[in-house]
Amino acid sequence: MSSHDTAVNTRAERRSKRSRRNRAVVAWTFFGFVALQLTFFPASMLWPPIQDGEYGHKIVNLRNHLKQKPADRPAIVMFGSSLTGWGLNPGAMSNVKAAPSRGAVVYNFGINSSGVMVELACLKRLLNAGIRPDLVLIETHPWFLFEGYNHVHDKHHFFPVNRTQLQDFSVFMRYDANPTQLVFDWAWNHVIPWYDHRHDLQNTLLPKWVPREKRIGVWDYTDQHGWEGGLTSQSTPLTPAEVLASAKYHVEAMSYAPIFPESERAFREIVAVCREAKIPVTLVRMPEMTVMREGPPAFTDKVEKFYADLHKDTKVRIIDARAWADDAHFTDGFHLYPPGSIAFSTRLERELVTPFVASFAPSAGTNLIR
Amino acid sequence: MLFCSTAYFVFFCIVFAAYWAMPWQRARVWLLLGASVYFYASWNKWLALIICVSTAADYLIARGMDSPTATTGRRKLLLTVSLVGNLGLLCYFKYMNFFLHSVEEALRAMGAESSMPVLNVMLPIGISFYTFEAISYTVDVYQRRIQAERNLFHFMLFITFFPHLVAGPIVRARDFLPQISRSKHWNWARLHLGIQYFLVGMFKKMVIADRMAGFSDPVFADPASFGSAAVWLAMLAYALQIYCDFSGYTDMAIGTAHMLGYKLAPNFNLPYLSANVSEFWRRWHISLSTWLRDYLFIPLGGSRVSEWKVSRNLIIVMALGGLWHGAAWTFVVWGLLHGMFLIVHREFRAFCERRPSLDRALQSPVGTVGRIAATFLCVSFAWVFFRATTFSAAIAFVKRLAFWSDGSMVELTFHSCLTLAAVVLVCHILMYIEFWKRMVERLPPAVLGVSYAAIITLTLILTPETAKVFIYFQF
Repeated sequence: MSSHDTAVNTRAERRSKRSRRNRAVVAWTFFGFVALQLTFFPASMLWPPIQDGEYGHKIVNLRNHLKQKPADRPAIVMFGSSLTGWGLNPGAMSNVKAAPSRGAVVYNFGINSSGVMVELACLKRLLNAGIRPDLVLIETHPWFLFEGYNHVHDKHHFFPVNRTQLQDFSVFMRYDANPTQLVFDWAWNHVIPWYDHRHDLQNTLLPKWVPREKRIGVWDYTDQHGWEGGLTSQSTPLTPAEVLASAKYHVEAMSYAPIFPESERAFREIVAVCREAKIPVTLVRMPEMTVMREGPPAFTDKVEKFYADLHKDTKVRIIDARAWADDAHFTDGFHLYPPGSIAFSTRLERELVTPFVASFAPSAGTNLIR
Repeated sequence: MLFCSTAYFVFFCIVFAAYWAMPWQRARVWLLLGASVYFYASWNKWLALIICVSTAADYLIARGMDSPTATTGRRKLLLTVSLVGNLGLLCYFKYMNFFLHSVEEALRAMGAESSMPVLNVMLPIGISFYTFEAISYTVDVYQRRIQAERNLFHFMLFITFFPHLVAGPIVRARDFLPQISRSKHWNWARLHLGIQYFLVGMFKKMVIADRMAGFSDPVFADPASFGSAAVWLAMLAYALQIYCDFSGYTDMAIGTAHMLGYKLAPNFNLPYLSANVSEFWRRWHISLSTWLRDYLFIPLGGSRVSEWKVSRNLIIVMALGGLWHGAAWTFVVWGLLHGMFLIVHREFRAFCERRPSLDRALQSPVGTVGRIAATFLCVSFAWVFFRATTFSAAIAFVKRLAFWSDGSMVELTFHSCLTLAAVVLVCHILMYIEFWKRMVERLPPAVLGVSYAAIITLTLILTPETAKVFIYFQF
């Protein structure tokens, strides 16, 4: 072999070695990237706020409460929308505030811009996460008996897809009118999950890096019991006339709409799920303005019939809290100002929490299975 | 379709997979051409039609010029047609309203009442870039530096190749057309290089530029409501923003091209480490500065004429370079400022050559750092006119810079901006001492690959929620 051949061979060998090295780098980059993206899913299970700040902070907070709670005190969790989020103020309940180390845990699990399907999904999420309340309260309001109020803006989904978890498909697929579209939208929002969820992540871990107008920060206005009363100061207050007009507008709109069968199905499923888990459940008809309570018969008749049928079929307890707040306590006809939330919460305590705490049997088991 | 969007990610993955799955070079060219037209049409399909028609016209004109039977007169005529056509389209879409508005203002200043019509036209994205590419091609064919391309599809791909279509680099036909004909073979080194370029570009754009925008945008929008400290910081933040935005885009374009087996000319070479403005223009937007040098400065006489004429040429070239960026007087002022900086630098260099001790002091490490800092400040100051939306806004900004006043600070992301400015500085130094290159050569493949993946993921996490369009897309 000549020196020329040797040089050629050495060059070829070097080239081949370089090529192997480059191939390995590219392969490690590709698989490393895919693996890192996949870590999002277990990471979001370990630390839920990175996928959904509002829900995540609430479940982390609830878990901390339950860890500290003595076994002989009950845990009561209320699911709902912003009506609950702004309205249920457990800190105003003497059972909660008088003896924090001995009192009951009453936790507000209201999620803004949600509806009955989201209540069902959140209940299932909590059960799947090993959290088992001693009593479940379910917010109900005429809004959520109608289709339009249960959906995310112009989409036929019940929840923003980027906040939807894989486990929610067991609920949403059965309720969404276009499940294929839901799957597609969800997949599109999870192609690069760390990128798609960066907003929640930054809001949670690096809030100072997020422009003020882009901050979600619902949890900045949420107290330790999940009450989002601080949010009321963030919205421009309406005049009494505007509040009244808003309530009238919604009553009018709902007078012409039929009851959404999926809402009815979801309420029944919530009751069934709780019963299967042996958790008592109570529906709470949220406070509303007089104009709604005394709305036109076209509206009130079908709403009352709905609740009567639901109670007759499921025997679920329904608490009528519609008149527990003054008309002046509403921000927009539905959401309560802090004084309204205190009025509602103290009455709820008197009517429901205190009797439940008094009759609570500690042998019911632990609230934190995992 | 932005390079840093999920849509582009999916688009590129499909093109990349289909491209390398095809065994025939001709089919690959068609695929890239189709993908490029689709990429452009994703903004506006009618504007995609315009680029296709103008490209086809340039192809035919160049063929006509290159014909063996073409006389000098005919060649000149065809070149004129091409220049008028290309510049005419550019003027119509980009400058017509600016000219009409300027005439109206001038008449008003002279006391005449006039109302000029406003054309309701949409600016085709990247028109300045592809027009310059087409002009350089026809001029090169006219000057017989290159032969006219025979294959229409190849020529169209040269103009519309999606990585460089909307914001450069401005490619030359003699560099790019031969690459199209060459058959491509899968090359791991090329792919590795492409990934490196792409991820560096992504980090620059998504993490640094867009974050800096969060700091500089509110101040430039209303400088009078901020204190001088905020205005100074906004000026520096914008200097970083535009560099990371544009060079980030270029890096992603070069990276994408590498992954498809093409090489685009480099456009940046650590410009903020330039020790004078002349050097800055050899390191900043290299494809534009060389274009201006070859097709404007040298035809005007270049630097082989009297000192006065060189200064005149510099002013003309830089003013037109400024106008190329945007149809506003602020861009012209930006160009004029750079022209003046270049003239001052020439004079100062001549002054220093006569004083060896001063020259030695300036060449020393401390002197070099001082020159780099001075150049950076000059360039950053000029960016104020580039960024300001109106001349009066620029003046208000400069007043705040010049006369100290207390006032509000941009609360928003101040810490993140400082952190990232430090990151940019460290990266510049690391690039300068070739640390990155050494690391890439020495690190084990697994460590290197996972580091890339981690950098990409970190970039994605730190990207602000609202993606900003690349600044140079408007040009």
